[in-house]
Amino acid sequence: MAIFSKSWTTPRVELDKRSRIWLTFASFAIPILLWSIVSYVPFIWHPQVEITDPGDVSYFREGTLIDKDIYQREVDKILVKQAETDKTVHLPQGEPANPVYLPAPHEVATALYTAFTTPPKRSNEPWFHESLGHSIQIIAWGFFWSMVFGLPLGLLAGTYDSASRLIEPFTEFFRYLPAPAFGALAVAILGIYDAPKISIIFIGTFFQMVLISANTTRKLNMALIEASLTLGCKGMSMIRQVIIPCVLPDLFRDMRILLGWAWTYLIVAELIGTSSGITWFITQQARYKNFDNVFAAILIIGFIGITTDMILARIGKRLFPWHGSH
Amino acid sequence: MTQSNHPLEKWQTPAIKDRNQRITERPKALEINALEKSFEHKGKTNKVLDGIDFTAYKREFVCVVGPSGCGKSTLARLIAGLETKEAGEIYVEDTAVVEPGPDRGMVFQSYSLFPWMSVKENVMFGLTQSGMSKNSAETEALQWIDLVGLEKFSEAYPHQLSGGMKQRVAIIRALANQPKVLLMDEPFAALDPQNRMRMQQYLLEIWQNIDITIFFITHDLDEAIYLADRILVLDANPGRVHEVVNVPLPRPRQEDTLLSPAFMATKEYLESLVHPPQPEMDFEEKLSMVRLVPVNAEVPDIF
Ligand SMILES: Nc1ncnc2c1ncn2[C@@H]1O[C@H](COP(=O)(O)OP(=O)(O)OP(=O)(O)O)[C@@H](O)[C@H]1O
Ligand SMILES: [Mg+2]
Repeated sequence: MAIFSKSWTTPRVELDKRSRIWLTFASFAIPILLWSIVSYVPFIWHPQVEITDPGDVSYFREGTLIDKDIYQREVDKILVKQAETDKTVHLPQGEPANPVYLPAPHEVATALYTAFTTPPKRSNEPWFHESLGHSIQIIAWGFFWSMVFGLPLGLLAGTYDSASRLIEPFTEFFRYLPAPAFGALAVAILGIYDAPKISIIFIGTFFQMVLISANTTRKLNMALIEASLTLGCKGMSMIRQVIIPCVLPDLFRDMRILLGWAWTYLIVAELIGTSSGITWFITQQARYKNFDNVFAAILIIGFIGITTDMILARIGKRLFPWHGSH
Repeated sequence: MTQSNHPLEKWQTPAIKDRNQRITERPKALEINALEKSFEHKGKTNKVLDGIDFTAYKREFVCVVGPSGCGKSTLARLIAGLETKEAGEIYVEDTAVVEPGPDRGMVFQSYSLFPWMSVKENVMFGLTQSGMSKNSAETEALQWIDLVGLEKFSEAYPHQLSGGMKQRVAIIRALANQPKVLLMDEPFAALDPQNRMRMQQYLLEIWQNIDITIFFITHDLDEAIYLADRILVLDANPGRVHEVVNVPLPRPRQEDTLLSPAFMATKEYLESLVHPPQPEMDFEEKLSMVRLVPVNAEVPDIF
């Protein structure tokens, strides 16, 4: 059975279905495998020792994690003492362990489930799914307002050179200003709750959206515009009936990419004002050293991201069946 | 060049002469006067069209031929209003051309159908633009679709059609608008010979039955002779009118028209205009530069 197919090393040639499935599987399997090796093979890494029996060391407690060299020093001390006094001693016992911030895969897997079932520490705090829901809401609103303002400006700039000159230079400049830098300002203007967070997502995606959608619109097949001109179509009617339908599939793809960006701004946005959403959950769990929950939360962001993207890709194929095949 | 010793003179039968005479007595459909156009490239101006004068009459079929890069497409785009002219005038039925408009339809080599519209919607597009109601536009579009035998595909999308079918749709989309002049820029160049032949017959059939002047660009001389009443031959660098050739063939044209002696003679004459004979020595010389491997080098045994 040949796992490797010849087509893997031919540049830009589409793979057969089996190879595709294989490689997609491997793309996830390889990192998980590495993680498992580091977690489960005792002599790989494991820089700490988990105490199973404190022995004669006064400050060892069962279950605590101690750096390997400190542990070794304590053991040496006891051995020296034994040699000097000839008394029976009780040596501490321990197992090699990884630091607390690297939970093993099975712990994170469990946390993926328990994160949802664990009630919050205080009754006024949100459950995990509520935090998650809040985050999604922030993203959705931020992105929505970006689209409301960004897409029309982008379309105009992509269609008319005059609009492009007027809109793009400033946008180009503004996009280099880091969105999180506006955090303090946003709080001062918009208060400490959701509004400043939404505005950070907005700032983070809006300017990119204008430029990207303008570029996409500009790349539109000129021949179609010319054809519509010779058929007596112009002005707003052309934007509505030709330009928009023509670039819609590409804009849809751009939106999918930008939505990914929105998630990266989310964490900063949620730290602004009163910490909220999934970021609040992550910082809270990190404080309690529940790193399995932290990993679980991060992974869930990934899952949400990739599922939305896959769903949107499907929807795109449905909505624009002609795309990519003309 | 005096008319009497023109090489095609002996093929111009009285009937054909009479027909051509009558064409020139019709009203003018397209008039081009002293048209100039240059393109700027890296600060250098490149004169593409230099003083083009030409008149096409109503219901005439004009073909344009000329060496590659002589400005045929540019000329058609100027007439369509898709390029701005530098000097000169273009009139379509006595109205000056300033911008693109539905009175000049255009068919491109690349079809340029709207990919998100079905065949029917594509054909309806121009009709609804001119303010026709959806219903009557649909009825009319379906008639056109019938005419070119695409009834079964009226709901299909362009990517589901073959090249020839797409081009038929592009043609009826332009025709449905009832333009005064139909500009066609190498519309059949991407089709295989058989399909091209069929499309040419289609086009002639349609043209004979409606009131339209066709300005047809091609680099295929057979096509030009088969279709045209007159052939506009352009020179390259800069583009000038070399000659306007009256095609000495009767209408309607049949498939065997392509074999008639008059056709052959016209083709030979056009060849001499478009591709003037060139010394052949250079090519052999260039080829020997390319031929780095000796022609009869021994083929290794393992093959
Ligand atoms: N937009 C443009 N900018 C600059 N130069 C142009 C442009 N369009 C055309 N040209 C130049 O004008 C000349 C004529 O081009 P055109 O496309 O009209 O030739 P053509 O006769 O249609 O050629 P072909 O038979 O190859 O289609 C060419 O030299 C070309 O380089
Ligand atoms: Mg051309």
